[in-house]
Amino acid sequence: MVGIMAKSGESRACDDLVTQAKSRTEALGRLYELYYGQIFRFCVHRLFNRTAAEDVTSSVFLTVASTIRGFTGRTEQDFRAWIYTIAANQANAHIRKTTRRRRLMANVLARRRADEPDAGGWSRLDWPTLYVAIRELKPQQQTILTLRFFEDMDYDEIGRIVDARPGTIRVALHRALRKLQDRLQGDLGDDL
Amino acid sequence: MSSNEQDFRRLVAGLKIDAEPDPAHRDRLRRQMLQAFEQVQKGLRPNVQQPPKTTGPWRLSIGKLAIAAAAVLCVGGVFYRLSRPADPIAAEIGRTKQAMDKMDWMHVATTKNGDVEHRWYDLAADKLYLATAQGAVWCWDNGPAQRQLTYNPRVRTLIIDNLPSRGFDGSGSVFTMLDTIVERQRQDGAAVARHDEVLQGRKVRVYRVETARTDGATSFGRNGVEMTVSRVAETFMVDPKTSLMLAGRIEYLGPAGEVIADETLDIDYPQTGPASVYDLGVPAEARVIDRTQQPIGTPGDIPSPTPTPAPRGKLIDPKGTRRAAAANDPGHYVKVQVHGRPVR
Repeated sequence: MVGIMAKSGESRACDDLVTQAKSRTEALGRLYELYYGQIFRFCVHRLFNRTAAEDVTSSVFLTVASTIRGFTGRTEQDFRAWIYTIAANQANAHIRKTTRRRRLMANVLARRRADEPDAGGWSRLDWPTLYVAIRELKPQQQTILTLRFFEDMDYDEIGRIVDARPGTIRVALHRALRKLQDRLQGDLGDDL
Repeated sequence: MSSNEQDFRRLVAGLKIDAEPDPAHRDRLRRQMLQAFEQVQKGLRPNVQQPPKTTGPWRLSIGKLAIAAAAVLCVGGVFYRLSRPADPIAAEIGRTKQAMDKMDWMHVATTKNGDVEHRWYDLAADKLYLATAQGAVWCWDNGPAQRQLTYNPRVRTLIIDNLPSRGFDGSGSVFTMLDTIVERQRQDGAAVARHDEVLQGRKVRVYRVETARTDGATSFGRNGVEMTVSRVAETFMVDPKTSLMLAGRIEYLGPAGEVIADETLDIDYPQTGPASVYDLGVPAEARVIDRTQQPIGTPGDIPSPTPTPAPRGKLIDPKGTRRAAAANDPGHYVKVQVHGRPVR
């Protein structure tokens, strides 16, 4: 009970922080400290490249700074969904702008596979290989997959970010995983 | 692979992903963001300088493949750069370039992370062969054929394709990529250090160039993590008697001067080289996929649509036929029922 109360108090404090951040620099700074690492990691997982992730993270927080006055949410949960929505949209936009990257990544992948003929099964699935496969999914599926498995969010929270019902997220995730499975089996052979 | 979420979660948990933020970026962005926020509060348009977004191919994750290609091409690139007329060492380098140009073949053994890759340059025919220690083989034929051959030993398949329209580095091909590197190095204007050494009992001339990379070039480090290359240090050794390049070393340095990746090159000039990829270990029975033979369709080539198969199964006869049949066999249509009622 005490724990629940403590959690509740902490949550209220964060909610207050969100309200204050609309008008006070210090509060926004504290929100930044809370979320910088999370957003950066999300961007790394979506974009693969650290430099690109830094660019998009910068863009996300500058967007937050210039638009938070008009943010209508009141709770930290609302803010979290809002900032992840901005990050997901900006990451997708960045990916669209860098379509050539897909081909380059495919080159890297082809080379990597050829270089590692002896490894077997899942052990071959390193991060570049998986990332290339994820990039074959639809942008929405990529976002959902990243939020679910890399950011460890539940269906409700993902639903708030991508504006969809939890059931829809569940189905989309199931399809994404199946597509990913097909893709990886196709690429790595039938022995998966 | 199972599509089960738990399996995938375990897979993700086992990945090694460097997602730790850079404290310098964190602090810089914090200042920019708060400055933008204060300007908005004052009713001003935020005038925050956006972080520089590097453009161009090197901004992209070229990674290991491009680094490997660049390693060898830098060999020539550095000599092109050094051969500028204004450079005091230009005369020497010019002679080296001419001497290399006269060779029929150049063989470069590249050692990185303990693995050795072999490249054979067929300088007369404009071809480059590459064979890795793991059995993968490439051939880029920049001659009239304009083909790229890729052999993957894991699936024992040789893929024949057109040369990429844009090379690894945005140039026309792996050969003309040299010009891109030369131009980049020309713009850097780094100084060249030269001294003499003894290599395997013979005197060699050593050149060293260190160039800054401010274009966001990246490389996969030894731990498989993509890192930004800040400087590239190239060292080349030339035989003063023949003016031919004999060896080299390329180091990719990080922001703090740490070596992210390095490669050593041993160069020789054989009389001949591989005649085809099959000389480099591609088995004769390897499956061949020729992607260059894509038929171009014309209206006359379009096959006629396949007709719908003739219907099979039991159909209810048209009314007239049914009546005619009923006249011959009154009990026949009693067997056909719809919703439990006989059809008449």
